[in-house]
Amino acid sequence: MFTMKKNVMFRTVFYILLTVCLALYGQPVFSQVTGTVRSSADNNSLPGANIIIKGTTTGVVTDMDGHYTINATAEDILVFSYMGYHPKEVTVGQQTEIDVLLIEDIMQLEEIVVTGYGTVKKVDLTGSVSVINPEDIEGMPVTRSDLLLQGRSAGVEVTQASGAPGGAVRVRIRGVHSINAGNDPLIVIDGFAGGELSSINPNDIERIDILKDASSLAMYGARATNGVILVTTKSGQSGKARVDFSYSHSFQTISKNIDVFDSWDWTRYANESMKNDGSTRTLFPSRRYPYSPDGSSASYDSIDWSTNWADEVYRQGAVDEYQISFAGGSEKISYYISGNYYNHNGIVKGSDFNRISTRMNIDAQANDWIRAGTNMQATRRQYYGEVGFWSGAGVSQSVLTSSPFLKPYDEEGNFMIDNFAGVPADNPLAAAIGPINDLRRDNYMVNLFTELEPIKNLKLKISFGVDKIDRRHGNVYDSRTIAGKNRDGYARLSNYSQTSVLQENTLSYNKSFSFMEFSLLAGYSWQKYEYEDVYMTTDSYLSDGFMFSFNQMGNGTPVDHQTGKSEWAYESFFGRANINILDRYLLTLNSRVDGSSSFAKNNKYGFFPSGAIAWKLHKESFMEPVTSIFNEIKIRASYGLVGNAAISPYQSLASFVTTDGVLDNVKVPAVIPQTVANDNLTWESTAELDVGVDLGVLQNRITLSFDYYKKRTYDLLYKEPFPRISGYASILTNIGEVENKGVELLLHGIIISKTNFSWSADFNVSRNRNKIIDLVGDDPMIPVINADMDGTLKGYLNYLVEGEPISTFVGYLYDGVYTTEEEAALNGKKIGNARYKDLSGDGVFKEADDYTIIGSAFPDYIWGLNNIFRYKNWDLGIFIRANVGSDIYNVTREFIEAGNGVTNCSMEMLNRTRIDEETGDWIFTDIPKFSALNSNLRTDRFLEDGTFIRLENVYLAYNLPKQWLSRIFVKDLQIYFSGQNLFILTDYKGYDPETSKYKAGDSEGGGNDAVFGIDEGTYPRTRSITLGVKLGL
Amino acid sequence: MKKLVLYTIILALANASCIDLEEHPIGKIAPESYFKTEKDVEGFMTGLYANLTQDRSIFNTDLQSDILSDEYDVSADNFRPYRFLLNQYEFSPSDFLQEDGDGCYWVSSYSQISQANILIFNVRKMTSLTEETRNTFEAEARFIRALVYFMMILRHGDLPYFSEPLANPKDARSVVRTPAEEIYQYIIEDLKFCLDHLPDQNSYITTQGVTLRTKPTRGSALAVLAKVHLTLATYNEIYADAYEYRSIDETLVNNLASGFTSHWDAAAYYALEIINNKSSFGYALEDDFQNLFNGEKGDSKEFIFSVDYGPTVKGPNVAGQDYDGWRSNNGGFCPYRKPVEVGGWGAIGATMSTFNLFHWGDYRRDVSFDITLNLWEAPPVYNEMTGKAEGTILDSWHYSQIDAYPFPYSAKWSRFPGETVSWPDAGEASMNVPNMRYAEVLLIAAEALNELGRTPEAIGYLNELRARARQRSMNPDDDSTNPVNISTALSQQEAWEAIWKEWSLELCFEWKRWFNLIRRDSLISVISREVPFVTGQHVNPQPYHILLPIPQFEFDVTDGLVQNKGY
Repeated sequence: MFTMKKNVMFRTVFYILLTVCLALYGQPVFSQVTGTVRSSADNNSLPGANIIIKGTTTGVVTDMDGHYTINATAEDILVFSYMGYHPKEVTVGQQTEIDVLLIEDIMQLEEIVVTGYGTVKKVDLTGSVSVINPEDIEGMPVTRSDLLLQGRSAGVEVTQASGAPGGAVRVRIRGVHSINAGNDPLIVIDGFAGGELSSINPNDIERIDILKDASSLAMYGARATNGVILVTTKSGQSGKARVDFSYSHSFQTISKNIDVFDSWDWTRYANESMKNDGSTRTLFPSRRYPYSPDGSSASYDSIDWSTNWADEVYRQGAVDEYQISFAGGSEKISYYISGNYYNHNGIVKGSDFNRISTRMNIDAQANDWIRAGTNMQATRRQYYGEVGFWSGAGVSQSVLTSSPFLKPYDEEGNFMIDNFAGVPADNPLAAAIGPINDLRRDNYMVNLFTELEPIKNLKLKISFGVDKIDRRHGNVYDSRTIAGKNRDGYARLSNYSQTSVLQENTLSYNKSFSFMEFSLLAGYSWQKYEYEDVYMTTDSYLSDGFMFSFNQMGNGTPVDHQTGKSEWAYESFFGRANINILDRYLLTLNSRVDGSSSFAKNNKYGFFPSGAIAWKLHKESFMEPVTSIFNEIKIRASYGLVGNAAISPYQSLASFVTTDGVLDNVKVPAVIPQTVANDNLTWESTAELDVGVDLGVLQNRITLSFDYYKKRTYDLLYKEPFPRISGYASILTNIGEVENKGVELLLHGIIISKTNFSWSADFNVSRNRNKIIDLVGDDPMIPVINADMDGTLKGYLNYLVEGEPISTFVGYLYDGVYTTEEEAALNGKKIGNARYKDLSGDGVFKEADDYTIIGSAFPDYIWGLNNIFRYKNWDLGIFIRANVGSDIYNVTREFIEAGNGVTNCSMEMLNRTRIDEETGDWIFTDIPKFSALNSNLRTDRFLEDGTFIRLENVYLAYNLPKQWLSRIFVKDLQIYFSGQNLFILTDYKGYDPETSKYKAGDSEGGGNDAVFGIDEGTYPRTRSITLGVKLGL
Repeated sequence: MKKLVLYTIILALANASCIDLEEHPIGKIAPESYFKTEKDVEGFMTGLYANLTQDRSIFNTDLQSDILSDEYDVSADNFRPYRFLLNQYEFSPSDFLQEDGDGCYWVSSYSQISQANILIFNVRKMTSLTEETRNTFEAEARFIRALVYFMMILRHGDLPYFSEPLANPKDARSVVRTPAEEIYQYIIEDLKFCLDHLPDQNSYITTQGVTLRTKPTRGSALAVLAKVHLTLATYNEIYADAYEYRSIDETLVNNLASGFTSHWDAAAYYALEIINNKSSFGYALEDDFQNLFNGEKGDSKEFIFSVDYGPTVKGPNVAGQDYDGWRSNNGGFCPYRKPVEVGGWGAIGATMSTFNLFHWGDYRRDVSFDITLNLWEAPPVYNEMTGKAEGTILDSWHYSQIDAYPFPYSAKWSRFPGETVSWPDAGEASMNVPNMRYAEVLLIAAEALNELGRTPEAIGYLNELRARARQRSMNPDDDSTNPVNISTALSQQEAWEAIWKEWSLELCFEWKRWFNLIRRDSLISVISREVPFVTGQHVNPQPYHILLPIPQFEFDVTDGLVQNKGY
């Protein structure tokens, strides 16, 4: 609607001015001035711009290429103006050619912001909403839509949790609110709530609006605590048919290498370790090495091979992306149709990802009061290779820890088995390419709407949509792998589908009077979810030949099979009033009543109200002295209540469930009690206060937004423990409180704006402080129970502590090594073993009481800086972002600096505590000696500063001149070069301070915030170079 | 106006779908709609038996009593520090049993008790069943309840006692500990109810051709009664100073033997009741000792009550606990107790002091120990002075010396695990593990009769066991003359020493030893001889160690519980 209105107005002005110009034609001439009028934003020429000699009615308009010719005297002042731009005055003087660049007037453009169920002029916004327009970051290849948000907006932390193709991304808005109920924001795609951001082709996105404060969020009630991301996809424009095609190719390499011991260093290391532990033998290798030539007696001098596992496992990665779109329309109908193919071969052998996505958006004005349209999308994503299915630690960790003695293949061409740790394991290459791991995820989303306007300004919008996810995950372990060998082949198939149906009706009305405007909205919606899954495993295949794929599972013996189904639903009533008095005082009231089936019978419905006020100070007469500099000054404040309903269904009900029993060694069905009812189970609630100010300086050449917020999340969904003597473990209940508070600053500036050169910059910085206010019971520290960590991290690392952030590390303080046998003996250790601080002061280090808080995974603040330079036909973009003050627990380093005689070592271990070969004296360093008795406690030795400044993207684009292109019927042609992650400034010793987060191997999930910040050797980040071309017809 | 009509119609259509926010879960049953038919009760009963086999069940690995006894030693497996603490008698209530740690039988025991109580409570109300059927179900559940309480009392003494399901689990917060003597009274009542309502034999014949042993019978109840009285025989003297907060009710303990001259007499009576009617209960000694410990064999005629592990069966998911699959069921058996060379974890090995009890010719030594897989060229000799094994170590990777245990391993639960399925789908072995077998009844009879002065009779039962041990059924030509019969002419004291030793020879690694040490007041004298492999220093057990602590996590959520002395 907005664009249509603009066009009508534009045309009207155009024709009036044209008439005026024609009437004035024929006045006396003095000299001829020519030139071009362009827009500063994109350097495109402006056809139809007005040039008037100041103080007269004499003027001309620019032609279709933005050229003009006017006759003027040297004293004349030319006034260049164009709808939506700041006028510019130029004295003619002796110039005969005057090119001007007009700066967009954002206020005049009436920039809008999308809020829940509607839009609002940015100048009239009362809440805190961040807008991301992908056009601003054109030139940066974006692999997933969620990465569009990274570093672009204050208060939004986006972490690419894994470098794997299609790897997981974690999005957090204004902190972490929940321990158990999830912290992912609600995604609303073209009005459809509950979509998947990563399922959208990033090229189809027109804009993203991120709702952050309670007044904006309350429109989404019980699902809004973690923020709401509104995605608007592209639409066609009347009369402007376009065909766009683009192609790009990227080369990828691992961004960092970590050196480890080769066979010769390793041999000395293993023997030194034996000696340190009191063994007199140096025989090596022994019968443990199945591949040693004679099985037992090779001495280390005879070793003539060494495997560099990084060389075996990593390769150069490549990405190809093709995109084509058709957009256009007539007066009554507009369309946007697109297709995209994205193929990514990852840097770990065998890890691939591809995505096919299609979209069709249609909008039709049936008659003067009925409008209808549809948004449809279908996306297929396919992941292959390492996904971290069996365990948290992936191939990239075993590359570092595996022995260099091992070879990828034995003499018969089979994968060599790693027996070093005593339990047979796949070697790193076998782990990467041995098993088939094939995950396919299909998303279909169709949304239809009708908008009726029976009375002027009264609109009824009815929409209906379906979103379906089909996921199929298959694994095959044939006999070349350990898992397959032990079981004569092993295959696993796990499917699920989830369907969500949404129906929404809104009624809106707006009216203006001379002294005020108001708009009202009321709505009703319901949404139903249905989830079904099928799971089966088989083993004992006759031969590998019968298990080409998990689609041949009938050839094996069934081991396990399960099916399941669950359903949940929401019902909502919502309303909003916007009141604008004298264009100065703005008031917004939002509220939503949300019903969720997942909550207990006494608490199905909740009420989420909010309010916001804003004052446009620059409209006040007493502000006049400063408005020549500050063209906009707006102060705003909001307060409201939102909820978090992200728990799985049926948890409030008492239930008996079925399980497997055994009768005479045969599986029989059985029933056991599972949970007791909680009739009062309800959502988590967050009360948020937001205070902000928006400034526009020098006709919005510089704009600034500052926000302060404070949020209390209470009634946390928490498993309150029962005494275990009751026979039950816990009940999901609402207990506990978490606080997030922070500040955000957003700065936009047009630093240079010349005809041929411009420089604009966006800077954002935000700081969030997360704190647990209250937890169940008086426990000072509650370990975060995470089954995945059991046995891998030797216990718990992340704790919940009142007064500390949700992701708090608890561990011991490393204190060098024991330098005397006496002191070591006191602690049951030997000289040269690791020493830990005795914090309790009882003279002896005890694991039971000498632990303390050692850090937190959450950053102190994050910032992002984007620069765009334009020179003639060249564009240059430089994007830098940073994360300051986060801690990472480097588990991989814990392994490669264990020096236990089995796990391979990083080169740092050359500087271990050791005996000087000549003098026989100990050389003490801050690294323990090689010894199997070095206990791997979780200490600050492996806790590292995760601060980084990353050159995320640099791109350079050349737009071919239009005059060349017009001859070949091409509108635009751009070729570009882009580099991602070219440089990072960090002290972190692992692969990457950002990707290497705990349990990030899963391509779909963003992990658990309470066990965040653990580097267990996830898929490394890449450095990437892209070449691309964009063609517009 | 026309538009408004149309609008109304459309709005009406749009809202036609009414949303139901009531939940109708699939695969979960509302408790109030269960317990309608006999099949419902059977399903719930099966769930109770399934719970006995879960990873952390007291019937499962029972790691604590292994490590606390002198039968096992632990290696330097630093994944589970609490094992060291137990092995060295340096544990505290907080590290002893972690709420969600492996081997936390406290949690699973109370969920078993709760399940039994739910069943008993509901089955009594089921008018659709005959009284006889109701009583049989009730008796089965009461047997499990009695047995679990008995096993728990042996470890912790006074316990919170429940005989009915709790209306709200939160009510357990104000529960206090019931004196152990009183709980023994309830246990005996439960078991006597079983005597009246359980059949002599289960009518189900397993594929191995024996009657099913995974459900209790009258014989099972008699055996547990014998064991209870055997324990009560020395109760007053052993536990006289067990509690700081109360003194023992000796009169009540004595009254529990009413109808008998003493608890010894009662123990002997119930044991002989089984022995003299063994054919009607279907009990007999297995011919081949090895067949008692073979996952392929299922139940044995010697089993009195056993729990059944199926390899492909996932552990039950009780009361919100999540099991991580790969240690579910009896996953603990094989890997814990096997050397790393054969895919075990090398975490727990047998002590040389136990190994050296056996005559070299005793077939039970070959069955009980795994010396072929260890690192010694010949079976090492235990040096009492140094506490170390002595012998020649095979060439091996030094890791085995440091992190794995260089002594013989126990083989009863790992040599023939039966059908195994490895992680991540299921547990790892398909053993049927006897909680009690007929051999133990013979030993109970022998010990009680000897105490009553009927020494020759007692020795007769020992010799039954020794005769069976001489049969090497794997290779009958190899039948040994050892172990030789014990002379019936021994004095009462000499006979006692023989019985005491026979308990170990017959039942080592079957979770009897630590309780026997306490029962016969030998804990401190025996354990303080032990030199754990890791520390190389003598263990220093204290008198209060006859009772384990109440786990710390219960104190965090309850009022009124009192900790045991010394902790």
